[in-house]
Amino acid sequence: MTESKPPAKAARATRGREAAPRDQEAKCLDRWLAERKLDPYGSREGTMYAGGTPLFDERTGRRVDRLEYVYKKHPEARAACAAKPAGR
Amino acid sequence: MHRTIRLLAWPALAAVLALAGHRPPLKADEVYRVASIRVPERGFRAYQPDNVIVQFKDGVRDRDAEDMMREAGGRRARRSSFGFRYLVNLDDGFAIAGVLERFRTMPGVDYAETNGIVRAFQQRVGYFTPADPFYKSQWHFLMLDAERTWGIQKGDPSVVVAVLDSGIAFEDFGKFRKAPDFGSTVFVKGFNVFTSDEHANDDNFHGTHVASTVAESTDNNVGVAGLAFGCALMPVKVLDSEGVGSFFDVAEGMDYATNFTQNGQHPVKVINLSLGGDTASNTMRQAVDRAVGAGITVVAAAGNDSAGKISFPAALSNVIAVGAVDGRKVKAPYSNFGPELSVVAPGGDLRRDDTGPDGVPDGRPDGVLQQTFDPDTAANQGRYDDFHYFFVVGTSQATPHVAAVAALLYRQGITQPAAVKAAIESTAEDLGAPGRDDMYGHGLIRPALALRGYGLNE
Repeated sequence: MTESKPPAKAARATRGREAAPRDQEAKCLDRWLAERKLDPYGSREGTMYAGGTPLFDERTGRRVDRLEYVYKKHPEARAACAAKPAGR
Repeated sequence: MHRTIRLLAWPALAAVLALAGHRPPLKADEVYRVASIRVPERGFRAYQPDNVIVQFKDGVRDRDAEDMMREAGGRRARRSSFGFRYLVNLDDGFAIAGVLERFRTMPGVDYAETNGIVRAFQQRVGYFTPADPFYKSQWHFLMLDAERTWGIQKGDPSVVVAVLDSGIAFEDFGKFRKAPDFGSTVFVKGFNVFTSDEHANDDNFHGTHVASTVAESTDNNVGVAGLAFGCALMPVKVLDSEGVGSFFDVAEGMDYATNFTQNGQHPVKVINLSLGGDTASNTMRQAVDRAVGAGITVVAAAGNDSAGKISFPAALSNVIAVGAVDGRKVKAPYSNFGPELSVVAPGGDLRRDDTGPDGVPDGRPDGVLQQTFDPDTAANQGRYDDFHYFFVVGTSQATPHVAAVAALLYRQGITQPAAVKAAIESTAEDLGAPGRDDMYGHGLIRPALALRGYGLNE
């Protein structure tokens, strides 16, 4: 049995820097959705979905990213929250 | 001794038919991958694909009979030793339906019919093995020891499972068609919340697949099986063609099922909710309370977000919240988890192949196998008649396994939702951390154990 090694300190730091903007982007989007009384998928609150979520396709077993799913429905949310490339 | 005669081929017509697209029937295991996997419905024949039985009327001359058989598409024929009856082998390129139609228009023919396949009954005592040709590929039923379950209880139409979903392909109505493997399934009057009438036809695919797991016609030599196939189904359409609905719509559907009466009785005993939402709702909570108060067990999907949060209304304490495991009895990667999770059932994983007939991987992904129509054909051509057998995965697919067991428990004499829930949870196979845990709840349902422990057939 192979044992996975813990990531090196530098790699952990890099991942941390990548994750932080994504988390901030998700928080921004959640605020944006809450202000408009929308559920986490960008639909009206109280919406029900087959399987409980529109993000998972039960025919293919594939999942779509929540942020991308919402941005597709609400392009204005992308403008408000999408992370901008560093240095711009 | 059999008398066999050889009929002359009709190569010209055979060639024309071949060019016109008459291909030999597909075999049962000719599956192919599309978005998910589908098995052509016509692959599941309950009769010999290349011969038919023809009985001629008294007084027809042998020579005329031979001419008729040749004309209808026969290549050679074997005469019965006991009557004016032939087993006619068809020439290449002739389809059975067309041959039978030709025979039936001939004045000298008494009748013509398919040559059905007969199997010896080899039932083990206490077990029931259905004759559905693709049943062995339903690894999810094998995992649950379904044959032992059916040896105890197969269900009865007096127990109705309301499937609140995108509808069910339960009737021929307008552009909608009844699914072929619902031939002997009993349906009670349903409800479409969008049109406020009884035509709760499926325009998505999801509801038909879910309902099939509960009560697809079984032991009928067609396709696959359903776990509570003796019970009746109520189609209630609360999700639209995109698989989306609202708390209000679902609550309306629940109240319809709860209030439904037939012959002065309330036959709905189980409500299956392979759906959910992210937020709580008083409207839904109260509808669930009314259903449970009326003696109905409500079973709902935990959700497919891979998240540590159970969907609503599965998160309610008086609902059986169902998560999913794959073919190894390992939590499916998409299945939600949390303190409200009650049990897990097979939901599958299309990225894995750990199962198949006799527990041997079969080269097919491990989804739950049931009939429904091809949603792509429906979307692109507006046709709702393109039925196949699809492998589909999700907590949506796990949930009807539990709803079916609940229905069988009612048939065994349990009448209270809390007792049904306790029977299912207390007999589950403990998985994951010892005792109840948030990943598997009380564990994997064991229908036969639940029925044997609480049933009248003990």
